[in-house]
Amino acid sequence: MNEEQKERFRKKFSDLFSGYRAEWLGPEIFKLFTEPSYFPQLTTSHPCFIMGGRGTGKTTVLRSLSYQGQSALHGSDPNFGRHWPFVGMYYRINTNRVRAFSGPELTENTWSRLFAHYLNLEFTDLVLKFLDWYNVYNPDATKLSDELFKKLSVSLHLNNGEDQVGVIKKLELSRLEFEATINNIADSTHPPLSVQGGPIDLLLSAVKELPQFIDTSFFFLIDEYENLDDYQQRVMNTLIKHCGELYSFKVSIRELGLTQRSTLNEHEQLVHPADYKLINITDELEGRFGDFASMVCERRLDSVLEQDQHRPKIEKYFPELSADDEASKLGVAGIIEHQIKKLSKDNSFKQNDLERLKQFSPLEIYTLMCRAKAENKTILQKFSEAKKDISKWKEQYDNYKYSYLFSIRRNKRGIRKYYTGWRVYTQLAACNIRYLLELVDQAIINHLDSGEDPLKPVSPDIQTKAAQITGQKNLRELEGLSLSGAKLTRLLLSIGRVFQVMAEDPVGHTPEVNQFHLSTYVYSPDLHNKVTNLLREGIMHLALLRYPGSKLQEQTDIRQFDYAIHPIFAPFFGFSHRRKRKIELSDNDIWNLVDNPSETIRGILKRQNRSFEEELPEQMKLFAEYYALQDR
Amino acid sequence: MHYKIDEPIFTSLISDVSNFRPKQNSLYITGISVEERSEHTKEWESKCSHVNFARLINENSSSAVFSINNKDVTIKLRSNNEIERFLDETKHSNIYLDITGLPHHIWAPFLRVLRNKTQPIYCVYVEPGDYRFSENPTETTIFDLSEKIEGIAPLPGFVTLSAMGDEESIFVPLLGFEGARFAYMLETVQPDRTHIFPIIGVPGFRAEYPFYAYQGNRLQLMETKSWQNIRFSPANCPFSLYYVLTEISSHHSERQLRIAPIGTKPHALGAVLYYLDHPNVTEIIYDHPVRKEKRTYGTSRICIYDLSLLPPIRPMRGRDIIV
Repeated sequence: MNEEQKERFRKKFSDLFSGYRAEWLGPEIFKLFTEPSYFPQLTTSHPCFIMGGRGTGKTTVLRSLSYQGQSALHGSDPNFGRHWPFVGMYYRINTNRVRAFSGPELTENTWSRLFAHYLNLEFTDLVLKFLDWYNVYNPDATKLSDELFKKLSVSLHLNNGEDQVGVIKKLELSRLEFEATINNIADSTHPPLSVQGGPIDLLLSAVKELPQFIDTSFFFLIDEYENLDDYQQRVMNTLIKHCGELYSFKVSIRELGLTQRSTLNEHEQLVHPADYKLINITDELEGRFGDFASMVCERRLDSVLEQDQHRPKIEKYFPELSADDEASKLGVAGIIEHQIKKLSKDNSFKQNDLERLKQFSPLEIYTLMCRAKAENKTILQKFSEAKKDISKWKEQYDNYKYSYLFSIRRNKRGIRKYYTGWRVYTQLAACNIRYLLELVDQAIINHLDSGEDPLKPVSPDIQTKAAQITGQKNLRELEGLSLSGAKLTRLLLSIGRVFQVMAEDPVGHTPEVNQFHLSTYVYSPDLHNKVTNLLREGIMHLALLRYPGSKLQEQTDIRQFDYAIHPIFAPFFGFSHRRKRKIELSDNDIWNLVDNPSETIRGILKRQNRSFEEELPEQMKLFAEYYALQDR
Repeated sequence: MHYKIDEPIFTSLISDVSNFRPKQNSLYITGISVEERSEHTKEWESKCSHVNFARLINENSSSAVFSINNKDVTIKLRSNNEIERFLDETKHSNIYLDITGLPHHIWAPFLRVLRNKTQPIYCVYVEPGDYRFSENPTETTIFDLSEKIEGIAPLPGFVTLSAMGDEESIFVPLLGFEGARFAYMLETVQPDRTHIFPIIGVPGFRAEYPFYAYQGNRLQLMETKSWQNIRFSPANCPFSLYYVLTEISSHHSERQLRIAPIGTKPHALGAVLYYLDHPNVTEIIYDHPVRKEKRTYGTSRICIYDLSLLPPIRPMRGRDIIV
């Protein structure tokens, strides 16, 4: 590629790969859409909840289910449009609007009725917009009768909507009147309200009698369900529970976002799987995420390189380092050379033993030295043991070698641990397609910025630095993600530092500790609630991941889960991204890690027999002041 | 042809707060916040015998309690009637709304009613001496300004339920120093990134402030690439902001404006005025920060905005709805 081609590639690549949010892609969203394996489950008429963290592709999936999405995806098919197996109508819960429906001016019961009326206006509008759109492409299709529109206008108290155009106009006016009512809710009695779901039932039952829609399922695609207040979820739950055969709901929600399971009837629950199917994106993609991620990236790369046959596959851009190669790049040879020199002067070490030891790889020798120290033995003793039972030693080596990689460049400048390879990148993303795209984007842009050929693989150094930058970027962004963003950032900075120091000092300790669980003792219910809410926010905003603990009995008890910092942050801190072992923390620990970080980090490290005084890795030095802070 | 003469500024600037006195027979609505600069009216009160002071003494998200003529009056903020009654109880020749110490959710509903009044209406704002630097600065929190945010919710009386969808809007964040608030807005509003038009206060209250605004919001400006669309408007001038919004809107006549007033109060004032003149095609999105104590030091100039002189300016739009 010449310079001009490289620049063009860079721009196009950056435009496509940095557009990792559905709302940023515009019309490109459908062109780049890759169908996830769970997609067919969403096309059935049963209500579904798609559960996943930020960036797992929920919005993209819902928008692809919409009639605009289906039209963009299949519009070129000559049979498309004659028969619609389903029609999806996308609706995002707008926080700024739904928050207006609360306050002390009215009782919750009255707010529920007002909110249900608002949903009637919104959903009717969605259906009418679809019909408008459909009629443009199918001008000869059978239309709804004016009689129906008169009934609909009565049902919504629209005051004389004679036909479709009339109802649309009146609907807009009604919405403005309703807006004025809400804006002066303390002043007045509210306008006449429609029955929950009544107008939608009326309209869709008529639509489904039209010959073109007799076999069509209608879906309301509700995005960001977690933005609804508790009572608003109960209103929506009621619609979902009783939606019947006329229409159905496909709902996207973050983990822990469904705060209410009951309907407006407190004795009635929304039950999985009777009332809805729950699709957990992480579970669905587990084991298949690499392939899915590869397809997503390949489609974008095709778009950038215009189907270039000679370009490498996405996986080839990210070669992995073996543990031995990584150890060698980290400079293990320098450490063992010094030791071997010492051993060669040691008379107790026979020459042929020394030769045999040298046949071990440098990482194996380093691991042997570390194990000798951990077991309080001499290198000779440990080596003799290894010789005696080589298979046992190999097993021990396999168990420990990865954790000892973290210690080779302990307290040194530059990269202290490599994060390279497509497989590692997909593990860092942990089934989150946005994180994966961010990693790929950052790595390839850095690769191009260092003057490398766009068709050549990305070096381990660039891959690692890209992973560190991506972790750091997401850590900084965390502050603005939620109401507890600042606290979550502090929690991550503190726990991340604990795990980083533990990772760099593995000798004589449990290897690869990167999770925690909460101790069962509750110091105070108030503190426990604060910690519960913070961890909950952490999970909803992907600062943390949680896994069922060994004694999981009740989903709502936070003590019965194990928690890990999301692996996307691992390269920034420098600990293992693999899910391994855990430590126990108390409510007090968690809260103090936020409120009084340096002293608490010091205390926890002391309990783990580690020192607080370890040098910060280069990439963390931006936060040096944070770690230096004393009691706040 | 568009001339600057069509964009008059109705602001009086007085360099020393102590040199200002409200006109006689006025109602002066004010409040004292956690900031030193909001205390300026205390010393006037005794010297302005013909001015009726209404001082905010208590508030929550839905109501406010004012002390006036030694009486406490509770007002529901989502009630034009109650605010109107409060303002009309005694006839005043002029009404001053001092926004310096009043939170947005209190002064904005008052302005909504005042905008329709016939007597002269003035807004008053005292610039701070300086902002407090954060003890632990990061790119998004250079200054220590907000304790926390309560979350996005409409200002009382400012909900917009129009039918326009997310994809049919322009997002206009009025930027301050707190990048985390901009980030939170982006995360919640999820605007189309090709239609984000941030506005930065230039000139700032002090010469260096625009640089802090860039620094604080750098990550978000870069990620959304919205730095390419930045517009400038003097940090202490609601009228200039109003004109900038009018200009942005006239270039995108099919789109609704979603304005996030997370910068200076005069900018928020300009945004609210703009909303009041274009209610069906504008949405105000606010995150309700809880101000930190001692977030600013001292006082600087006092700005008096004569709102009665600003006629509603309607940009040429394609989707205005006339009710």
